[in-house]
Amino acid sequence: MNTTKILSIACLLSVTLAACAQPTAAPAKPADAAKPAAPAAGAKGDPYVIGVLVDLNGPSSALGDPSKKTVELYAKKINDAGGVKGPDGKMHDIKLEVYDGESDPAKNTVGMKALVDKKVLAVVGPTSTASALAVAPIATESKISVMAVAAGIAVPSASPFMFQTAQNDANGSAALAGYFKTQNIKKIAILHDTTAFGQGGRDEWRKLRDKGDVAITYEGGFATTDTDVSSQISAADATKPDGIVVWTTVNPAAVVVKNWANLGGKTPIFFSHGIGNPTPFIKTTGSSANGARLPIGRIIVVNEVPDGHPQKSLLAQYDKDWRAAYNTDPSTFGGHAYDGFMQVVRALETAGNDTVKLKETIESGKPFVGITGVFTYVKDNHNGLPNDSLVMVEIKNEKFQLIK
Amino acid sequence: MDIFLATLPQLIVLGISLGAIYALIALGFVVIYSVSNVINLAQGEFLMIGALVFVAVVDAATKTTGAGLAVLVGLLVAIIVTGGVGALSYALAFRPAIERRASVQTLIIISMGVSIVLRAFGNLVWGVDPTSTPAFLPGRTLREAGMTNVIGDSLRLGGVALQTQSIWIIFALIVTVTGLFVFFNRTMTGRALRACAMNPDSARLMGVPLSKMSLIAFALSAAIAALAGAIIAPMQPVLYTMGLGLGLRGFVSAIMGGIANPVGAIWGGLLLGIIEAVVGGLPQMDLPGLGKVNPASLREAIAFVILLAVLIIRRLRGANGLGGKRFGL
Repeated sequence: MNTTKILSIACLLSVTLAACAQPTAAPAKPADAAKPAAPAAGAKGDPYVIGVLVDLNGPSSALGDPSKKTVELYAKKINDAGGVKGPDGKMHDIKLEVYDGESDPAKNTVGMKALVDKKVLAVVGPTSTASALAVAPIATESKISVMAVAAGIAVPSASPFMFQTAQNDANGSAALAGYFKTQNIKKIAILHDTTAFGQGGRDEWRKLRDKGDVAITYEGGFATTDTDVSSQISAADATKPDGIVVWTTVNPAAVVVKNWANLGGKTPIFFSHGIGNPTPFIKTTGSSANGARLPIGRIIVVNEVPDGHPQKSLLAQYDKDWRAAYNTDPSTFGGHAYDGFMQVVRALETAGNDTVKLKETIESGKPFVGITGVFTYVKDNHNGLPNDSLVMVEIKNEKFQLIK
Repeated sequence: MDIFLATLPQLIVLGISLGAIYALIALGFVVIYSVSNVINLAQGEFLMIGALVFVAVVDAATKTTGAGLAVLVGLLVAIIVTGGVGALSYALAFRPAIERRASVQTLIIISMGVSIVLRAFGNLVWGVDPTSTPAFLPGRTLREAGMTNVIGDSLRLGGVALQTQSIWIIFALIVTVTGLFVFFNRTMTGRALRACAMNPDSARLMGVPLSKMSLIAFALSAAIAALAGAIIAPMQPVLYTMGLGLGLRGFVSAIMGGIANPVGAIWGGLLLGIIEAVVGGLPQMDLPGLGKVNPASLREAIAFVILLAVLIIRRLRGANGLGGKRFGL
């Protein structure tokens, strides 16, 4: 027990030290956001409380962890610069309430209720599609905006108070299908996990099949906890497709790509945009992922994004901030959380403590240049992302490289 | 269906490799249960600790010693450290309860507690990102040695791919079984362990220290789990949650074999592995009343269904699993 204690203290210390070592730069906000004025003594309002409901344990923890770290990093930056200027003219600090959903929709529901009880003004999260759908009724009832970082297609319409800050299955499959046209790939086999995300992806590909864009030679499912999916890959190979499309997230994708390479990597393999965390993926797969191609957010290939691109300066700033704070490579999941959090912060400047007004401000159609893409939320579109928010990359020499 | 039959040889080879892992994990359940009557649900977590220690040591040692020696050092360290974790779990969590004559159910709950603690420990020390190691015998080495039928890290035999790592798994299973056989039949400690398994009260009267024997059984079975963990480290993401699924499958295999029967555990493991692999390769089917069913998606549920079926059959027959013989290889 003592070791555990010492370890946790050491962790705490290192996080604090890392945070202290931060240069006190102004927060990286989109150019159109109001600049926080210098904190005037005595003009400080009550802090704005924002909930962070992400999976820090279980299969989606690799996604939830960077989300939490990102929100903490930028909340600190905002508070260091004096806080958010509310509609009352006072400066308000951001106070975060973090709840671990443990990759379990039921625990996410409990967490959402706990956050509502703590009077949060908005929530960043949940991490997974299943959890986002589970908390949607609570969002509607409590009138608290939920900025889901989950990618399932059902997420943005699950509640009038639910927004999606990740590219969804439709964005991802459309980007991949567009690429297939240029590569003359017509017959595909689909491997998907049995979560809401995996099945949503499969359904999108069925729609594309019904439109005549692709033919599907095989469909196979697997559980995210499966330790081997070689059987499904053999079965897919046997139907002689032009490509295997795998719809899942980081950890299961590593299992799939290893099995694929060990079976000889006969058919070209493509993944969904769910693999937004290249460092652990590559560490797990080694050279076996070489040759795999996937659509992904630009943050992963930030150095290859051309200078004139509208997201370029923000991407570069986030990349720099993240590396300075955590000394690892950034992931798209952190980016989704940034987009959710900063859009809430921007809306707080107009809406303050009024959660309904907050929601209306977020969906007012004012473009937001984010890490994921340029968002335009309106009442009927709570995804707000164009398909070109994804670019195609190929894994070459154990690195994600932009396909030009 | 023709396509399925064409892939069947491949599926069976995959199943044997998968099953050999389950068999190794199941052996850990058997060793502990035989000696101390504990069904240790933390077995998968022993495997996880073994795998994480193995990866950490291999990562650290590869630069100084070269890959081959690093694997050997990693195996040794992982087995010793995890064996220690096993012994410690017994001494801290199980012994106090056993000394107070706790019921079998209480001991199962304690083992669940141990598994949660170990998982939290794994999370705290190694974080949430998965990791892995290269194959023990990388395909590149074989190609450089002039072998032509190597693709990736697997050998091509006819139309069937066989991972080099699978060969190590089978080898490890044979070594473990032989080692256990020699230990239980040819050494004094091993015989004392068997005595405890057969009749704890008589063994105690004969001067066999039951508590010490249980400690040895926990260390031994944690060491076997660590071996299994190290050997699958190149095949799948290694992280603190990996013990759950594997532990469950090892448990099912052990139950299929009659929980106290090592030979049965091996058959149970291989059978479960082959069933899982074959079901995973089944094409989509039209079942009357259910519509289109994709059996591959249901693979995980199959372990549970088999477990229930075996328990019901055992209940009806009053028998001891698939095999009949209790312990003693």
